[in-house]
Amino acid sequence: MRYLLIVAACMFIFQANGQCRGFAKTNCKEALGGYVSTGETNTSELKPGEKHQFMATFYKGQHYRIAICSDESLGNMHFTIRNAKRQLYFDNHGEEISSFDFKVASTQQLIISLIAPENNSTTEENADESKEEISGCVSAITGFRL
Amino acid sequence: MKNKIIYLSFLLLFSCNSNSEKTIVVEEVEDNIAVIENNILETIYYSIPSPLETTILLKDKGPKFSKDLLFPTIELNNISQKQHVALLLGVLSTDLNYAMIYEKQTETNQLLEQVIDLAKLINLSSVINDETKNRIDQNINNKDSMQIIISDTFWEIDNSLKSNENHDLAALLVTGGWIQGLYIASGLSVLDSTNKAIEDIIADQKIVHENLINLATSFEYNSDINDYIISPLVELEEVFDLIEIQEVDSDTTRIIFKDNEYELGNYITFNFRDGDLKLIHSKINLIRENILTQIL
Repeated sequence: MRYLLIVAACMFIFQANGQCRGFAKTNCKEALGGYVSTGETNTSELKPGEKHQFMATFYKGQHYRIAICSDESLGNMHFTIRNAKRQLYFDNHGEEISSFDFKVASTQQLIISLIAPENNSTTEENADESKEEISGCVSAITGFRL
Repeated sequence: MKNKIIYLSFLLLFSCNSNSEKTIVVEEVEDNIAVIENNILETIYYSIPSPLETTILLKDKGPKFSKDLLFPTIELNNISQKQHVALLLGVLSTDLNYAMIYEKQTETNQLLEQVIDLAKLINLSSVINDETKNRIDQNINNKDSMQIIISDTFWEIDNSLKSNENHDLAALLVTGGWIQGLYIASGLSVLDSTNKAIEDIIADQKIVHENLINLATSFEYNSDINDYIISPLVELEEVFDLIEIQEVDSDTTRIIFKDNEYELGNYITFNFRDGDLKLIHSKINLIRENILTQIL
């Protein structure tokens, strides 16, 4: 029973993310520049104010770039990188900075978060309506230097 | 106030533009926004580094190519179950990356043909096919281009499996790749026991193994895969638990700006005891043998 619930939940999640699959390759790949994709592309569909978060492993000795991209309708994404203790390493503060180049002192997992900005509609009613209507794909893509 | 401190920290971070070493300590901040926990499995996929990344790292650490570590050539026509195909595809994908990184053209070509044949068996021939082989052949003397083609191809394979709801196969692809990667790394380490850098890569798998088990145990497999692959993989935890982690620098929030690049803290070392490496090699060898004798 537990297994069935897990699988059912997973299927729902993967289907929800399915419509944005391929978004990274079309829209984000160029942001990697000279870095080769690790194949680790994390994509989701977000509404204003929602957050997509994932964890990835980074090896000591490798040089990495994490690049993000999103549908224009969502505006500039708030992009943060934290360590496994949830301590902040990087924050773009919702500015246009959409990539971060780094290496790690020792192999570790990092938590990458993408937060869609809240809608700036003037009235509460408009904001609620817009929030219902607007959604878009967001992706984070990881590359390493050859 | 906290936010101001962070903001100042990052102003410093982005204004750094020299090769001198600077240390920036970032204020610790709680992440206030509720974490969306609905993408746990999708997340685990990305916590397991790709075979390409691991084999590049291995080569950087200096060991010579060892053909003996490649998976033996087998008759692919006898494999009918999709889960078995996916597992083997993962194994041979790691071998393909290993041979390619070391510029072993004969082995690369042979492995590529096997990978294409296997891909056909699980309906992936639209992703990897003779056209892929032609592109690689045309770039056979350009290692960087080959790496990009192969990296892109495996990206497509992963995407295709997930788009078609074949998540069990995607998980087995990753699992097979990891088993063969650890076999190669530990095999190289046994061959050259003085190479500390390879030891470190193997120790790093302590982190990866945990994620792999979370992924691999989330799906239902046939009894052969369960008994001969998943169960022994879970048991590997006992071996990885023997490796002690020692923090050399406990300041996890340290960021060093050096040579125009940020280095994220902290320094830890893994303490292998005598025999740990051989034990890992022996256990992973057993699982790999199971693929040969019980699965195929």
